[in-house]
Amino acid sequence: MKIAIVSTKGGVGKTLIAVNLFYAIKDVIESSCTLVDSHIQVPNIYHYIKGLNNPEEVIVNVRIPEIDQNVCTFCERCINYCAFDSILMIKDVGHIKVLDDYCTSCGACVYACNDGAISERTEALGKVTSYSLGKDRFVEGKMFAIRPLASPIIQEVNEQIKDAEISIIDTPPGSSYPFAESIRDANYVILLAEEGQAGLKNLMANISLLREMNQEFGVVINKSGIAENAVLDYLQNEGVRVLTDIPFKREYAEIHSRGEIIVQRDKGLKGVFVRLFESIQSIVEEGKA
Amino acid sequence: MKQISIIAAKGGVGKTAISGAFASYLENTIFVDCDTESSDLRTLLHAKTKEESFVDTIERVRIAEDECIRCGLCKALCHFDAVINPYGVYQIVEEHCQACDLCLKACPVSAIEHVKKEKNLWGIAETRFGDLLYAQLALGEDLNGSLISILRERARELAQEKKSDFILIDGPPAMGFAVASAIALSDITVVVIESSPSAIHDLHKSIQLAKRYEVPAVCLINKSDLNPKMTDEIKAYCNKNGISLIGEIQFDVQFMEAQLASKSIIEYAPNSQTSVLIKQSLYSLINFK
Repeated sequence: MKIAIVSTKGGVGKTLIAVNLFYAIKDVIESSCTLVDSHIQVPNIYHYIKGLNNPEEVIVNVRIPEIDQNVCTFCERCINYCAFDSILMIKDVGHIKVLDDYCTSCGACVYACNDGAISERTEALGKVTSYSLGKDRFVEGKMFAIRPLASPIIQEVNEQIKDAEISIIDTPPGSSYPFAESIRDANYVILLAEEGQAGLKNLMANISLLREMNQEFGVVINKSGIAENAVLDYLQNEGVRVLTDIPFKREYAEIHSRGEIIVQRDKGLKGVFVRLFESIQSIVEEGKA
Repeated sequence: MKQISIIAAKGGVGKTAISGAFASYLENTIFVDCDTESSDLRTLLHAKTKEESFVDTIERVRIAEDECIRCGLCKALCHFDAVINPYGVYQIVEEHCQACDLCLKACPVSAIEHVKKEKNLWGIAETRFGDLLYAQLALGEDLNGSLISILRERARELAQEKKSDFILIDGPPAMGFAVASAIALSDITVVVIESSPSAIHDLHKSIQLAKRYEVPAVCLINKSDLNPKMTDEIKAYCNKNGISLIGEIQFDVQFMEAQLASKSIIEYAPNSQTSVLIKQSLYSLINFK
C-alpha cells in the first residue's frame, strides 16, 4: 500500500507528517515500511533518520548533446527542431553550442542534424538512494543540477518502491509533473490542509486536482486549534473525508526543527498517527473489496 | 529602480509572510508573485485582478489514429517513453511527454498534431500597497521557466512606465528551474532560512544558485529561537562565506494570526518586536551595497 502526503503549498507540514507517520507505525506493524523522499530538488527527510548506513545508489543518467563546431555546417536545422531555445549560435564567428541549463535531453537536435555534428554524452541527472533500516527502508530521490527535467528521477524512485509492502511518500510541492509522477501509483493520498485564506484556496485547488486525477484521498488538518474552523466547514460541505487533525503546538515546531521525531516524545500524538494509518488501511481495503 | 527577489529552498520558512511584510513598508513598488502553482502573496495581499490573459507556454501533442501509418518512428525517437502502442495503436502518455515536439516534426505523414491544452494565465492585480503581477500554471511543468520570465519582463515594463523604485519578487518554493527564472536579473536576492536541520544545506544551495546567476545574495533567519544551536551554525556559515545577514526574526505565532486575518504582520501587529525587526531587515536590504 502506497500512501502519498500532498500539499501544493509549501510549509503546511508534509515532511513532518511523513516522518512522524513512519516512526509512529513502523514498530506497531509487522509489515516492512518504506519512507520515501520524492522532493528531489531539496530532499530533507534524511536529517530525521539516525543510522543511515550502506546506501545503495542508482544513478539516473540523461543524454546531453554536444555539437562539434568543426563539423557543423550552421544549417540551423537543430535550432528549428529544439523546442526549448537551448542552442546558441553565432554564425558569423562560427560558434554554436548547447545551453545545458535549458536542455531537456529530448534528442531532437541529434535527429535533426544531417551532418553528424551532434553527439550525446551521458551525464548524471540525479540519484536514487536506498537505505535498509532493519525490516524497514528509506528511499530518497535527489537531483544534482537544476535542469528542466525531473521526471526520470521520480520514475526511478517509483521503480525502487514498486514491491514495497507499505510506503509513505513525501511529495514535491506544486502541481506539476514531478508531483503527478510521485503520486501515480499511490493507493491513498493524505491531503494536508491548514487554516487561513491561502490555506483554504490551496486546499480547494488541490481537491479539484485530485478529483480530476481520480485519486482517492482524505484530509489531515495540520496546525489546528488556532482559528475558527473555516477549513473544516468547507470540507464538510464538500463531502470530503477528514481523517484527523494535528494541533498547533510550539513544542512540535521546536522538536521538529531540532531534527527529532515528535511521536517518540509525545505518546498521544503517536496514537493519533497510528489511528490515522489504521483508518487509511481500512479505507483502502474496503475499496479493494 | 532596484529588483529584489525573495527565495527559500524549503517550504514554510515564511517567505511569503516576509514578502508581505516588506510590501507593507515599500512604497512605489511593483510586486511579483512568482509562485505560479500556489500564489499565496496574491491571496495575502487580497489582490483584485485588473486584467488577465492567457499565454500558452506548453503545447501538447496527439497522434491522429486514422492518419498514423504505424511506422513506429515516434516511439523509437522519444527519449521519455511517452509513446506507447497497445494493440498497435500509437498514443501519447501525457504524464511522460516533455513537449519537445520531436515526434511531431519527425512523423513522415504528419499524423501528429498540437493540441493546446495548457492554458497558463498571467495578470495584473491591485493591492493596498501597489500593483501585483501573478501567473497561474495549468497542470504541467513550466519547463523552461518561460511563464516566470514573462512575469519578470512585464514587471520591468510596468516599473519603467510607472517610474517605480522597486520590484519585489516573491519566488517559487524549492530549488528548481522556476526559482532560477525568478531571481535572474535581480539586483539582490534574500534567502530566507529557518533554524531547521536542513538549514545549512538549504542555504548553501540557494547561495550557489544565486552565484550561478550572478545575483548578490543576503540571508534572513526566521524562527531563530526554535533551534538556537542551528541559528548559531547558520551565522557561522554566513560569516565564513561572506554572506550578509540582514536580520534575525523569532518564531512568532502572530505571523499565523495575521495570515488568518488576511493581513501582513506589519498591519496586524505594527508595534510588535517582529515588525520592528522586519523593518530593520528591510532597511539593511535596501541599503545593501
